[in-house]
Amino acid sequence: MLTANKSGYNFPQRGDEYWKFTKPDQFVEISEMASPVNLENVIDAKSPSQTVATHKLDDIDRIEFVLHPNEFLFDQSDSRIVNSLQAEFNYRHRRKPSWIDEVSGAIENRIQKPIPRPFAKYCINHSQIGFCMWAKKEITDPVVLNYGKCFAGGAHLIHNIIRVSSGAKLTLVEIGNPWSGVNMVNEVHVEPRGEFNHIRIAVGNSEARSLFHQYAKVDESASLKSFSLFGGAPLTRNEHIIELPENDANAHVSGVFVGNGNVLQDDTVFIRHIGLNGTSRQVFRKVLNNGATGVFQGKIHVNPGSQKTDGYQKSQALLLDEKSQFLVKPELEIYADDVSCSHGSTCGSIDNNSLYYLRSRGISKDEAISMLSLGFLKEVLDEIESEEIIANLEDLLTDMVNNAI
Amino acid sequence: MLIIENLHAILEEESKPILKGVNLRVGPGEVHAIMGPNGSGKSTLSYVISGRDGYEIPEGSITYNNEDILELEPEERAALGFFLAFQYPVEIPGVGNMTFLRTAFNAIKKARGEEEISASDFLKLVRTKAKELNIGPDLLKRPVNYGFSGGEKKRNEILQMAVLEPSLCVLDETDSGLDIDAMKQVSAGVNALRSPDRAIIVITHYQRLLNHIQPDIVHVMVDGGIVHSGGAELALDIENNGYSNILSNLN
Repeated sequence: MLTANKSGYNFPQRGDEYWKFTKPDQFVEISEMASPVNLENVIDAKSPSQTVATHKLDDIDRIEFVLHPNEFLFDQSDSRIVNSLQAEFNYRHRRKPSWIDEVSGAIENRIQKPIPRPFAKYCINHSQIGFCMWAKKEITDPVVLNYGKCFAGGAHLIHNIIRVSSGAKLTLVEIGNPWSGVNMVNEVHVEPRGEFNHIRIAVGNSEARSLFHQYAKVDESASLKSFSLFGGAPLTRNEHIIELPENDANAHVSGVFVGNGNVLQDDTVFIRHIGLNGTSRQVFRKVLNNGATGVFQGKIHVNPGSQKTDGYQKSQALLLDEKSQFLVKPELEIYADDVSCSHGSTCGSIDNNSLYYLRSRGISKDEAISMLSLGFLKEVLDEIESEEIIANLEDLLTDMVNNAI
Repeated sequence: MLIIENLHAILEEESKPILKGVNLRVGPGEVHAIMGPNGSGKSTLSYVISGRDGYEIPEGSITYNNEDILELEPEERAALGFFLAFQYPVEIPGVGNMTFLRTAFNAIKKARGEEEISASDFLKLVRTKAKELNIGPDLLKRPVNYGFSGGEKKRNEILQMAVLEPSLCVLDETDSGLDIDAMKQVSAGVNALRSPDRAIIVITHYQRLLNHIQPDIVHVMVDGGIVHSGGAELALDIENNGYSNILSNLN
């Protein structure tokens, strides 16, 4: 059931098919409250050392974008960028290069059926700002987009566009959730044989209410891998809507959440196989403590004729107390007859045998619970391509788990 | 050193009495073997010594160096020097073997008020001990016992024992599932730990292990109690004649 509201969008209501567990009200409020970003006032970064959001990637060779009023700030002579990466702001009221127009709204629009997604539509139509990246060749170092303080406080609509050319490769790390509210859409086009690796790290802000969407079209023999790490925020909804319209495409989404207290984190994934021989993988794990709520709604949708599809979906939670809950809706919708698809969802507490084993070696009960929780979550990091990034995220995840237990 | 008197234990889940008055005294430097038919309570005794949850102790006592340890948590007993080599070592996915060893080592050092050693010195220590037990570097990198063969798991138990240097080692059927070569390696690892200030209790079904780890005293446990004790020759007698002689004498 959708109801028109003051902005004329049929925003979902609680109980709608994809909003059974998470109340959409706050996202309606955030979307409608979002004000234009005045970059002149909020961005004052002049050099990378002034970026504020601390993260654990400091030891990695990377291309880090620092936000500046009129352009991305980076070393123009950086040979890693000049011929391979085009990066620009996506200003609503300024003329945009045609490559941005080609992607903007088009990817999201393809996938509005069968389930309309008014929040994404609203963001695309009303956002004032976003970031556009076009990888034209293989970019070996990860590209870091650090939201820093540039969206601190307030509610924002951010519309990002990512294009990966045929045969190109891009690893994009989005870091930070400095806002009090955000409705963000990433539109991603991975062209034939392209490879897009995406990592989102949104941890630590106890005010942030975030609605992330990633709409992606993955072409023939192309690959998309997206991993997200969430924790600390009261409300996070993470939507992936991915279409594999051509043959031999691969989509792979994974995520980890550490929840402590009155928080809710929702992963909603919809992967549609249209071409032949597609593979997709969904792997999500959450550790929930002190009444935290985790949500997973995942669907593998296989069109008629999408033979030889290989789909895998697994969602698991470790509940550390009796008040925490994991609400799941794993789904397969298959219209082809020669496919291999599986889904599984588990929910459990700490294994007593493992706990006893660790304690018998001198490790305290609390530390043993932290170790087992971390072990449970760390396995998902293996879904990430870069071992360097995995090593850095392990440290961050360790801190998160130790703080939550 | 370890004094167990009239120890009774009930498995809480099933309200089932398992130990029905165990008496055992183990002194420093001694190696004791406990043998006995299936279901006699040998493993339960090892669990109760190490502090596993799920057992009610209605009667009896365990003291270690004159301290009553029955109320202590498993980690507190480990800090005192207890170590149980598990019959079925637990697989812990996601936790690296090396990380586990270092965490345990540091936790025990801290509990004893001793200084931790540097990461590089610890690495050297573990590598040396691992080499002696024929444990390759890959097993140190992999998650604890995860996907290890039966022999690798048992060798990993002995590695932990060698690194943590406990003063009381309880080996619960460490020989089960081992081929001859692995048993020799494990036994050599245990023998290397024999010292005048360390006590070892070996629980086993077979005399074969005791050829490699020579016990000072052999006990026979039947129906929740130690019914007979003797020297190393008792194990040979059991190997040849089974428990029937001992059981018939009891009756």
